[in-house]
Amino acid sequence: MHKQKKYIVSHAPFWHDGSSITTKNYHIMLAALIALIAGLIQYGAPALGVISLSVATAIFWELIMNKITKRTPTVGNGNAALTGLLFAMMLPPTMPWWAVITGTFVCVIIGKEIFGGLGGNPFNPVLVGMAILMIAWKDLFDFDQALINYDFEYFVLYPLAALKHFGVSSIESLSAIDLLSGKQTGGIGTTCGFGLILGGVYLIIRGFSRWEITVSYLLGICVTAFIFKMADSTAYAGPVIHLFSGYTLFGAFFLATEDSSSPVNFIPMLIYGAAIGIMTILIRNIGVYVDGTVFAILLINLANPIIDKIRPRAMGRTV
Amino acid sequence: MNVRKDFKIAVIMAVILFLVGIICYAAFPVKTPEKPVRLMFKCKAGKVLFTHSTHASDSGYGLSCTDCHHHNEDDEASFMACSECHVSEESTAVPQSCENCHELDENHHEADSEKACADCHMLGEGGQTQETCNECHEPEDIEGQGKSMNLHIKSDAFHAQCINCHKDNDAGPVKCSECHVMQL
Repeated sequence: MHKQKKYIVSHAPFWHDGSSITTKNYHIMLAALIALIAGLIQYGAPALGVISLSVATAIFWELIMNKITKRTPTVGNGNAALTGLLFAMMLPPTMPWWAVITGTFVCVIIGKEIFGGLGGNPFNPVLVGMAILMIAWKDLFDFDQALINYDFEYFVLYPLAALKHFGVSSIESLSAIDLLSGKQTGGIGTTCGFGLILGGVYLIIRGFSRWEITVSYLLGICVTAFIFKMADSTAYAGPVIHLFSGYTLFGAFFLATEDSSSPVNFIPMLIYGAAIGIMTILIRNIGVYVDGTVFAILLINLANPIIDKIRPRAMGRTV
Repeated sequence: MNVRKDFKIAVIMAVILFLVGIICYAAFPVKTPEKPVRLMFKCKAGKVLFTHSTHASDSGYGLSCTDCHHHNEDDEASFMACSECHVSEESTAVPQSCENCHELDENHHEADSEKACADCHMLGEGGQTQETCNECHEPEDIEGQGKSMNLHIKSDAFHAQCINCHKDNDAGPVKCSECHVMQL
């Protein structure tokens, strides 16, 4: 045991492996591309308009803020573009232009820049923008209303809204495969489950996001939904619907894992992820909101500094 | 060096995407189809999503236009006067109680017998019926101005149309909460 080599440390000079925040942000955008393309095929040019405007204005807002605060421009690191992209992926393709611009303003300025920019934000900036828009203009996020002129060849009710308003019987025809392959209504880039999983797994394998948060989040969803289902199977849906509809997969792979607002230690990451999962189902099942993902992540973001106090024992510490 | 290059790439990308966004919003808005796909009826009791294309298409329920609509919009000759269905009354007074005109069926008051009509339906101040026909009905919908007609308001017509058809075919929702998104 005493011969085991725990650390191999070499002396300087050290070699930088080339990784950077810029690389990471562009890889996250790349990972989101599969689900995004599926959404663009489904919703067409209007969706492209929302995505383009959102990414562009997010970059512009950050650039303007850089100028106002007289700081070195940070738009080159891709974080503003990523914020705009993830924000747009959660919107319906019919989102008015003024709402997109207002949303990216809230995401970039209020969600991130006023806290000092990248790394200083206590909440996920994308979700700050989403939450404020969802509260201010909730009708814009009624996917049944927003997609009224789209002719789909599948079940047209937004699954979580149907579940909330008309009960489990209204969504019995939905299968896991249909939901995963994007045969459901929702945000531009949040309906194609296969795409989100592929992109998310890529990020985990490449080390750009932490599996502990994603896995514990999904487990939290499954266990809590299962308990509700066991308690009353006529009133509450099982884990499959909750896992594969709404913002669940998008939240698990792209939102909850945001660096600045999530823990860095192993146990805290598990607690953080599971707490979001539990909170999401609680809001969906007994709260007033149709999809609790946005508010659940924001709420647990708030608890992140406390959760991250749980740290491993320092090596070699004697007192 | 890379920082400057990344900055340029981001700004160029933003400008291009901004133009793409403007073009998409201006030139490719979501088009309203000639025949509605779905309709959202907004009312006090909660909005209702109606799957128009499912009802009207051959692959759906295969209903013809005139099964629900008064007349074919493409054929003005088939237009029906309101009075062909809605019988005019002698009296010019507007009924003071909802139940003078509307029958309460099993869908009403089943949960709470104390519930007032105005809790779900749009009525005048104090939950009273309106003083004139025009407060509920469009003037052009009423034949013979100044004469009280036994007109259905739009929601009554829709309720009768939908619920009766669903009952006749033993399919589709018939209760309030099966159609209306009740406020939580």
